[in-house]
Order: sequence, then C-alpha cells, then structure tokens
Amino acid sequence: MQEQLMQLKNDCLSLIIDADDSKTLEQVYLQFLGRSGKLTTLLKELPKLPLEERGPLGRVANEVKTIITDAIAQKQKSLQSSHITKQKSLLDVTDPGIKPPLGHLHLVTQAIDEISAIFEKIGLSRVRYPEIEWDWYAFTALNFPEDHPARDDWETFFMEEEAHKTYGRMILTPHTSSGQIREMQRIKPPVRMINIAKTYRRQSDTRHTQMFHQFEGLVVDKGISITHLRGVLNHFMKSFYGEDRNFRIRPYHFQFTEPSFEVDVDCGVCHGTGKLTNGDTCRVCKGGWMELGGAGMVHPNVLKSVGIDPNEYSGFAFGWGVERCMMMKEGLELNDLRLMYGNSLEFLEQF
Amino acid sequence: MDIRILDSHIREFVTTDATPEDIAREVSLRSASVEKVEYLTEDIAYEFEITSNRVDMMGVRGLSKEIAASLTGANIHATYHEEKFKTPETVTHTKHLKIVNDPTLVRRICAVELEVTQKETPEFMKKRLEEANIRPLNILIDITNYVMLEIGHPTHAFDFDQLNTHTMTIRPSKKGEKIMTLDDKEHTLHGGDIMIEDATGRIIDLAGVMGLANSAITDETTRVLFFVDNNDPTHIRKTSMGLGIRTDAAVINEKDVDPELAMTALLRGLELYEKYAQAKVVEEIIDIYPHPVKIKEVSVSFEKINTLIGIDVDGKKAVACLKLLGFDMETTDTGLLVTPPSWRVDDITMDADVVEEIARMIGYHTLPNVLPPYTTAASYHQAKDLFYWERRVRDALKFWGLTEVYTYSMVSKELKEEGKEYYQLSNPLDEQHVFMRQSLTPSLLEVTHLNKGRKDITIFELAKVYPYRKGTLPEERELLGILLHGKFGKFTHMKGVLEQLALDMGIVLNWQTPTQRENILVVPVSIEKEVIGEIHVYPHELVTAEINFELLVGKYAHMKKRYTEASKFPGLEEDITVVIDDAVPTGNIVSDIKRQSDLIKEVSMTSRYNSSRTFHIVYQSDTRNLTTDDITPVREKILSHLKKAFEGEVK
Repeated sequence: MQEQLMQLKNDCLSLIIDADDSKTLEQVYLQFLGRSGKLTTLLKELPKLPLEERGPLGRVANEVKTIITDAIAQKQKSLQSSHITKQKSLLDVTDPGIKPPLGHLHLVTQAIDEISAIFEKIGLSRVRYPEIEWDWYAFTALNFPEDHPARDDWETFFMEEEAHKTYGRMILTPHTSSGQIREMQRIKPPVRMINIAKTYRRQSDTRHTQMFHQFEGLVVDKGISITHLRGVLNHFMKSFYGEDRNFRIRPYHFQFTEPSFEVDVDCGVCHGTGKLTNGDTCRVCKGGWMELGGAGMVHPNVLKSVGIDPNEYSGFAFGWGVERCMMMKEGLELNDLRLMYGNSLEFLEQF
Repeated sequence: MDIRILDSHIREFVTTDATPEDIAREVSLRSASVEKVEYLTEDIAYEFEITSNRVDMMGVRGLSKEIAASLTGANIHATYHEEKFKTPETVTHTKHLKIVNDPTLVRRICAVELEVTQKETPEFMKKRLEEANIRPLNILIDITNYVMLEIGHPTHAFDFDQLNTHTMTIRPSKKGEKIMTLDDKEHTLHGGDIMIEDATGRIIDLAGVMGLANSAITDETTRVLFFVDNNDPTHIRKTSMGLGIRTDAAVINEKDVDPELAMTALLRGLELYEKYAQAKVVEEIIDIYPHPVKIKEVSVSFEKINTLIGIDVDGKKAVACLKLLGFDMETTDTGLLVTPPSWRVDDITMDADVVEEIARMIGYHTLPNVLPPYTTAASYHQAKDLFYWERRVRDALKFWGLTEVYTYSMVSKELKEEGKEYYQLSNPLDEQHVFMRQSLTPSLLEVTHLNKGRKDITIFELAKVYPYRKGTLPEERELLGILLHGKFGKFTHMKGVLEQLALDMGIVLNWQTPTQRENILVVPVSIEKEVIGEIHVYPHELVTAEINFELLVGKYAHMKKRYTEASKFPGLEEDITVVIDDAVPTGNIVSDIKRQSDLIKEVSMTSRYNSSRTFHIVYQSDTRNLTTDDITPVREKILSHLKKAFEGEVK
C-alpha cells in the first residue's frame, strides 16, 4: 500500500507539472482528490487494514494528500499568473469600452432636481398646482389691484372661456405665486413649500420664452421675519452657487409682498468686483452683482385672502425663474433662450 | 423703468461728500437699484431702476430725497435741500381761458399763459436732456421735458395762437375718432381716451400721452399755454398701450403721479421760462384741483417692527429713518403714529409698509441669516410621491438611452385633434401656440420632424395635459410620452420599455388586441382591467406611447417587498423550437406550456424567426434533484399539446 501511495504521488505530481491550463489541472484534482478520485478511493481502504498498519500508513497517506493539494494550489497560482501575464500583453486600454446606453435629461429637469433637493434639506416640501388658473388665485388674492398692468392682455395669456362669477377670468399662470394661495388653502400654518411649475407670459424673444419655469418658496408661521428669509436664501445660494458666493437683498416692489426685495448673487466671473483682472468692466454682471429674482414678506392682504390672521402669522415668499438661475450658475451663454424649448437633439445631447 | 441722471444734477439737491461709488452702492442697497455708473468727460451718469410704485422717484428731485436718506442710513453725511418758488407777477388779471374738466379723467390741471421770446436752449439743459435720451428741440419744448426730468411730473406746452378758441373741454374719446399726434402720425382712437377739445369740437390734445400736431410748439411760437395735467393713470395706460404710444410722459402718468407735484412742476417751469425765454405771465395761474390728496395716518407697534425685521430695532433710529424720507410721526408708548408724505399716500397704508421703510434704511444686507425654526412637518410617503417616481422614471429612461424633451403646452391648430374641444388662448402670441394640449404625442412627432436628419430618435417627455371641461378648470393630468424611431421603432421595444418601468413600480401590464385607426395600430395598455395608456405603431419604424403617469403612480405604484426562498435544488434548462402559425399569440403558447406540469418554473420566448419560435424552459422542483428522466415525459407532453392545440411542429 505504501508503494501504491508513492506511485500515486509521483503520477499525480508529474500530471500536475504537465498541466498547462486550469481545466487540465481541475481534471487532475478530480482524478486524485475528487469524490471517486484515486487517493480518495485508496484512503477509503485504510479502515479495512489491521490496526498496527493503519497508523503509519495513515500518516503517509495524509502527507501524500498534503503534498498533492499544495502542488495543485501552487500550480494553479502559477497558471493564473501566466494567464494574466499573457492578458497584459493583449490588453489595449485604448480600445473603446462597450458602453451601456446613456441618454440625456433636459437642462430644466436637472436644475429642478437640484433646486428641490436643496430646499428639501431645510424642510420645504415640493408641490405643484394648476397651470390653467382663475384670475383670483393669480392676482386678486395676491393683492393685485383690479387695473394692475399684469392683468393686461399684453402680459398675461387669457383663456377663451367665460369668467367665473367669483374667481374672474381663466388664465395661464404668469407666475408660481398662485401656488401660495392654493397651498395656504390646502394646509394651515406652518406652511413650508417649494412650488416648481411651468409658467407662461406673453413674451417671446432671445431672452424670453412664452413658457418657462419658476420655483416659489413660501414659509408661513408665527414670528417669521426677514432674517429667516435671509437664512433660507443663504442656504440656497451657498448650496446652488457655491460656498464662496455672497448674496444681498435690496428694496424692490411686488404687489404680494411687503416689504419686497430683489435678490442678487455676486458675480462668479469677476468675484463681485465688477472688474476683470485686466481692468476691463465685467460684462456678465452689473457692478459685481447679478439679479436672481424677487422675494418678500407675505403681504398681510394675501394672508387675509386665505383666512390667516396677519397679526398672528407672518411669512416670506420668493419666486424665481428656473432657467435664469440655472444659466447664471452654469455661465451658459445661450444667444437665444428659445433654444431651451426648440428640442434640437444636437442641443439636448450636450447636457 | 430705468432713468438716467447726471451727478451734477443730483448735487443741486443733495450736498454730500459721498463718491459716485458710495451713491451707487448705498442707493442700490436702500432705495432704487443703480444699474450702471458711467464716467463722462465732465460729469457722471447714473442709471436707476425705479419700480412702478415709486413714481415719486422718477424725477431728479424725488430721487435726491432718497439718495440723501440712503447715504445718511449708511452713516455718510448728506443733506437734501429744496428750491423755493416765488409767486409770479401777472401782466393782466383778466381771465379769458376757460377749462371744463371731467374729474373722472383728470385729477388736477395747473396752467399758465405766457408771452415768450425764443432763445437758444442753454448747454446744461441740452446736455441733461440728451443724457436722459430726450432730444433737445427748442427752448419752449425743452423746458417741458426738463421739468419732467427734474420734478418727475410730465408737462405740456400748447402754441396758444393755434388754439382756435379759449375754451378747453376734457372728455373721453369716442371710438373711431382720428387724431394726428405731434410726430405727424395718424391714430384712430379706441374710445375712452382722455382728450381735450376746443369750442369748435377740434381735438387739440391726447392728454398725458402726447400733444397733437395742430397745437404744437414751433420755432415761430410767441405765446405758450404751459399746461400740467394730472391724469387718471388707468386711462393713460389703456391709451398708451392700445395705441402703442410709449412716450416718457405716458410711462410716468400711468404710474399715478402725486397731484401735489403738478403745481411744483408748473412753478419750476415758469421759473425756467422766465429765465430762458423771457416769459411774461399773461394771466393768473389756473389751478383746477377738485379732490386734493387725503393723507391717512398709519400706526405701527414696536413689536411688529421687531418681529417682522427679526432684530431689536432702536426706536430712535427708526424715527430718524422715517423723517429723512419725508414722514411725520408721533412716538407712543408702544409704537409710532406715522403720517406719510403726499407722494407716498398710495404706497404707505399699513404697518408693514412702515416696517419696510425702517428696514431698508437700516439696510437689509446688515441683517443676520437665521433658518426658520422647525415646529411640525407632515408625514411623508415615498410610494405616493409623484416627484419621486418622476425622478426614478426619468433616470431609468435616461440610462436606457432616451433623451428628454420639453415641448410647449400650447399647440397649433394642426396639432389638435379634429372634433375635440380645447382650452384656447384668447390672446395667443403666435399661431404655433394657441390650444392647450390634451396629448403629448403630436408634440413628440413634431420633435422628430424638427430633427429630420437623425436616423434613430428615442425621446420622452413628462408633462401635463389639459382635458377640456366647459366653464371650469381642467383636471390637469401628468402624462408620460415616449417616441422611438428608427432602429428601436418597433412595438416590442416600446412594450419592453413600458414593462420594465412598470415592473420597477411593482406593476404587471396587460396587453389587449390592437385596433386600427387610419394608418396607425393602437394598442391599449392596461393594469388589471383599467386602461392607463396606449401604444401607437406607425408605418416606417416609428412607435409612440402615452401613459397616464398620475394614475399609474397614484393608484398602482408601490414599494412593497416580498421574499420567496430559492429552491435548494438546481434547475434544468432547455430550448424548444417549434413552427407554429403566426396568427397564434406567443402569450397563449407560453401560458399553455406552463400549464403542462408543476415542474415548469419558467417559460419565455427567446427568439422568433419566420414561423419558428424558440422557447426557453426552466424545470425545477422544490423537493428534489431533477434528472433527464423526470423531464422527458414533461417535454413530450408539451410537444403533443402544442401539436394538438396549435398544430405546432418541432424543428
């Protein structure tokens, strides 16, 4: 039996040496160490031997098994390594990759995703309200006087429908601010919304499209102040434009806020100086600042229009153009904003 | 509205050491935005953006008050001083001019008749007018414009000798009346315009908007009727926009100018006519002012001021700020009782208005940034969040190689469906955007036409449609539209896309037999028995889909997880290829095969070529290892069934 073991060991080792790929090696393994392999079969004979032979033979058998197993493992390693060496000489990293398909999301979607994520971080939940709306929601409840120019035919789109007895004419929302009214009718304060939607104005040129998008923030609660508006704006500015950017709010006028502000961010090109490094005037901004849009403290009449007591609650709101904010961030210089909705694939596939 | 004003002109009203940069910065932060500062050879020009509620700042004088206050707010020394006008000496006291006013149209008329000698307009005046984009013409006209520029109230001058009668009647125009404005353009009136006619019924002025050719000043004019009319702003806007006459006067008048300013404008004009046109006052100044401005006090508590601004405001500072802006006030124990100046009566009507004045003078930019405190929040359910699914579906489509488009909600007549009612714009901007769409497909098809050069187009859009309901708002509904054209323009591609999207939402779609609509095959897409959309198969490698996304998400999408333990015993797989009549639906074959034995775990068709279809079958048991002996009888059963049921032949 000992001789058999030695013979088996030698046979196996020579087969291992000859094996020149992992498949052959695998077969060698099965041939000797598999369930019905030669060594396995021989080892099964061991218990049948007399007791005094069993001990020494058992030891030899185990030694053989270890030697074979190690030899196989080692050979496997060397086979793998030579396989990889061979691959290395064949691997051309400059060959093109086989790509999974990759399409494109519209620029506006990309901006909206980022904007909503930023505001959701500080608890403003996204909502969306009607685009075809009654005058009352878009103007009257927002404190626009009956004869305000925004209600003119040359600024707002009107529908060829009969006016509602209470809510007036049917319009296409010229701003997302009508969502303030809808939201405050839907829930009682505290209100924290970010309304992002399509808006429409009767204007189409290189800087305007008759359909565009706005995002409207509204926070109404007890004791809401201008400093809170500043806190929210600061969070947005630093998140959207960058930690190194600054903003300012300055007086402006809107019907539905009092006080009203215009919000500026400092220019990313001239870093708020208004001058380029070569001394020229920065053409991107106005004296170092770029206007983002409007904001303000919710007008008491607006709160009253939805039955909220302005002596108990206050709030702030802001509503800006998605396209405008995005173009300022990316420094995208579209010579014609109408490209945004022109849907040329050459345009869309750049983003 | 942007106005352009020279530094030298401002400094006639404001004494300050402030540099132009100081002025630009501090006025932008506290008052009107300075859009531009331009250094000229001998002066500096500022461009201010004045908001529509602050018509009082549309002249140098009103703006100078704000400049002085803004600089003071920034602790830069500045004082504002106003001119005092002397009462003119009159030549004769006989009144021969008669004005019949309609107080619903004109709120105040200040007028004076002058004998003048024409001279060259002084250089400073020409320069200031030119900088303000007003062309100097002759001294008599230039003065009217200069007064508007400085005082902020439009004025007009008639050639007195061209007025046929000495009676002027203010009346609304009738529709169809024709006039010729002083720029020699003819206009047909829409009716309701403010106009002045003489006793013969001849129209001599389109009040507040533009003078008429028949009474215009010429170089020969020797008698002038200097006329300051304060008009109802709504009428002015209607006339100006309706006729497209956007003069500076109209733009200012439509913003509700303070009637108190009319007399100031008249007196300042008179002063200039005396100085530069040797004017003599012919008769007493006319002042028709039936309803003088009423000023209402506004009270505001210190508590309100502090709550709204968000800091503790120093009461003394608040008072000082308001005084600089022309407010009068009394301090009470708890707050302020404020009397606004006449030029702010419409603008300052409640406590928040006063808080604004105080806060802007302190400077919004000096306030701290504080996030609003959190109190409560509504609970959130991701599976019902339309925005969440929008993002997920958009991303999936993007990573499957589709490109997202945004098309207009308004479509042209060509893109709407015959015989269907639509919401329609009453004032569209162009013919391409008139009807509120009820389907995304026509817009997507239009995109493929726009990109005609492309062989393969795979696009999608998530957008609202507006199904028509007479007399009320639509139930706006978000749809998902997909268009595949070219290589992927086959029904099976579209079906695959929709099935995978649905699977990701935990939904199984059902497919019904297509119907033909002209040259389109329409395949309804449903969940259980509810139709949620359609696939349209067109000739020539084009297929579109439109899915009611809101219904899909709102009613069916879910995120429930279920775990089934995998069988411990390996399965056996094989492919069977059979030739079966093309008319037999694959779905029927698959479900029939599956029914033949419990050992069949999965059946799917892997290819279909001519009439032969290959099915991949997985056999597996949960209780034991399967051998070929187990499978053979099952296979035979399958084949004999296929033969019997569909006359299928093994290939």
